[in-house]
Amino acid sequence: MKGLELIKKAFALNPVERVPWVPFVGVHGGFITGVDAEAYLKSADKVVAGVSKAIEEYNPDGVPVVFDLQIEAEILGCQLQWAPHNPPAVVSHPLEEGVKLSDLNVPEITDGRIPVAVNAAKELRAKYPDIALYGLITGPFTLALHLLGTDIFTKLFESPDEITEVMEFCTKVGNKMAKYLIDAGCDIIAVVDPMTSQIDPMTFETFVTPYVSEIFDTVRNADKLSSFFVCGHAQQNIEAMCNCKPDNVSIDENIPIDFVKDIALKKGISFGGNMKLTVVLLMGNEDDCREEAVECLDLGGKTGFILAPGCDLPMDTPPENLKAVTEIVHDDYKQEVIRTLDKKESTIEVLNMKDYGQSDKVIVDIITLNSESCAPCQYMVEAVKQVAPQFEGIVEWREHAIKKMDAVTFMSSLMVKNIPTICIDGKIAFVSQIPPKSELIAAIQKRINKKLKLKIKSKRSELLILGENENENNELKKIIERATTELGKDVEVKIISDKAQMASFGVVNGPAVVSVKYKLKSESEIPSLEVVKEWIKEL
Amino acid sequence: MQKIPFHIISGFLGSGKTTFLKRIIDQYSGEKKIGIIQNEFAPANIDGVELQKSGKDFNLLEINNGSVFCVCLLGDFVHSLEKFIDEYRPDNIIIEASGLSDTTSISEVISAGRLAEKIYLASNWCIIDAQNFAKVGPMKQRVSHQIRMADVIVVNKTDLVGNEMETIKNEVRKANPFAEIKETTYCDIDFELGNRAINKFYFSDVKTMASPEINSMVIKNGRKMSRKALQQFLNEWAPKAYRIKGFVNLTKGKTAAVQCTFDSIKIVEMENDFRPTELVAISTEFTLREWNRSFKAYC
Repeated sequence: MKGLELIKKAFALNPVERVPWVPFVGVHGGFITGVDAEAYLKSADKVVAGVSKAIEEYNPDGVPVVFDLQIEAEILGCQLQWAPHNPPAVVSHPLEEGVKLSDLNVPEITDGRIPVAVNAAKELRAKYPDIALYGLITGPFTLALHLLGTDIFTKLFESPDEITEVMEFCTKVGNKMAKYLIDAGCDIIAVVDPMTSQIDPMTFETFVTPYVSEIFDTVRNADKLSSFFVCGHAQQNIEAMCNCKPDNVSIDENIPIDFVKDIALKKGISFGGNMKLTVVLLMGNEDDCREEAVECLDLGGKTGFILAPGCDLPMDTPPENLKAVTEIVHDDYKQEVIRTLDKKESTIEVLNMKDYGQSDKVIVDIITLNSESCAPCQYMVEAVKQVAPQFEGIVEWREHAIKKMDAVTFMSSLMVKNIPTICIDGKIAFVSQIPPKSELIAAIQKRINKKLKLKIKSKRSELLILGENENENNELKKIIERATTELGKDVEVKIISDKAQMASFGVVNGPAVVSVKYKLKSESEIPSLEVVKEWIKEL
Repeated sequence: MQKIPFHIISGFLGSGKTTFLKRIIDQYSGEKKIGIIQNEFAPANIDGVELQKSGKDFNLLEINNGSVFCVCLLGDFVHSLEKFIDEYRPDNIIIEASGLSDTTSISEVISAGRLAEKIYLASNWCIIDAQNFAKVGPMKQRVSHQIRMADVIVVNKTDLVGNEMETIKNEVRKANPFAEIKETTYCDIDFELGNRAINKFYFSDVKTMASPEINSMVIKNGRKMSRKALQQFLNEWAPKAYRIKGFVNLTKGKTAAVQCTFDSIKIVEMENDFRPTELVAISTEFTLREWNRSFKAYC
């Protein structure tokens, strides 16, 4: 199903096959195209390039056009401080500095950086008709704070009428911005109002609800979808947010997603979030991101949930981390693997597998989730099953289904991270992809050849002549020497004439011959049980 | 390199943070190299100038963004802080976190990645303005999270309130049953820097810590645990930690406030306040990865 369709389905609270994924790419789009935050947010072309790159790399179902809560504020006279790795900061507040509210005008579509957002939206719409485009606008309360500064918090109580007027104005701005973005082709208008996390529900209902609700009505009347983004500790306001009747609420890591889920679903609203931005997506590795994604997916469920970061992605979030999330979203089996490993990993004892796979036979291990229930695992096992007999007993294969603890141990010991994986003699050979028959045969053959080479190099043999009669022994020795000469083999010949020693070989009467083959199996270390077992099997 | 102790001083605008900072600088500058971080979301830059006018020796990192308010902007904070540490190598770092800051997120980022190799969370102070706090409602909403995760709560400007003190203290206790509460005027209280702070808060009657390899770590997630599993989890980890504290959401819908030092485990059940589980540990014995894995296994 196409991204936009999938998101619409999730917004409508219909169960989905796969949870939609919306990476909030803001200035991160600049990072992946080599542009700093300021240049990026000032150019529609650069935004289009950045978002296009993000779409290519992260295969999302929806993306924001720009994530910039300073566009409106800048036009209304707030000064911005630009930074290379961050969206700009609002550093002055006109209403605090004596500007009158009546002097402020609702921005026109050509004002300030609105054309950046609008033109980028138009171009992205044409380029990606099937991906949900989020048009972000600054929520009225946050815009009011930009205009008033932190005075707003005292004025809420000391001069509520003034706040009401400012909120009315900010709502007009919001309605207009929503309209510009809808006309440019956005599917979803996200009202981003992080500052509402700073107030209690009563204040929220008085100073936010009527205004934000009006913007959501505007969006609804235009037959588009809406979302209410908040970040920070806004748990006290979630219900009030839902009562404003957006189609979706989106939160960050400061609120447990299942808490929001319970409230939102009761109110018939979809919800999204809340992958950890800094500690996981920015500072973590791919494994951390996979685990985090699965955790969110499990808590969110498949009805009404949109997987997204908690907020605007930090600019230099490693792209591999986001790709890891994409991979998890699109692959049920990988999710299952993470779930299974997550439960078991804390108690794992890792085996020393350095010497694994030194038996005569080539050992093919297939690490699976469970070949009965996991299709890729099943195909991988089938592939090996078909190929193995062609080697006429030289190749032995085993499946390790990680539903069992010892298989998890085995997997970790071989440093296998993905499921399914084929290891040949303990070395990872094929990861996730089922190899074509020819490639699998070639890989096994390569290993056989290598082993053969090693074997030839390391072989040392002896022939023991056991007997008490010296003449007989010498005669036998001559025959053996003639044979080794004719075969061109390097074999040492030893004579044992001590009766007790002969008896230890089970020989009572000579002459007898015992052939001995030596092979170095390990050196300066104690091999693991698993490894010794492999050696013993070949005896 | 020995890890640098990192202290958080939070509290809403006007509560007395800058006054407190000035006192700390007065007390320690010359003796210790102090690094101060201020975010200027509020007009704190004015305070920054004021601090510098004092002529005392300290290094100041100003965050241009109100960054420490929202997790979206913490990434940049991480870079600036790293650079600041490498440049000045302070003996101690104190962050003046505005009323909008989320102190748990700050604790979490300084305890992760490369920063965790350089610094650790030594103490978390929250200053409240007695007069404003007594005015109920909206103010509390904003600082409640800071109060919840603080080690010490300084109730400042007590001279401006009368018999409301008991009510204030009860309110504070309700949010954070374990914090030490200090009452004062003009922030006239002693502040313990560095390891001394750790000794003081984490094991006042145990000998000074020898190992420099202290890790602070934060678990923050939406998981829930049964009361019994929580007890078992803490039984396993408390003996290995100088301190574990925070809040864990329980499966039955309540929240448990937790405080452990080596040999004591305290759990107080509270009404669920619908925030994530947030646990902070300070230890030389284990890493966040191990602790987090184990936490998940108990859930």
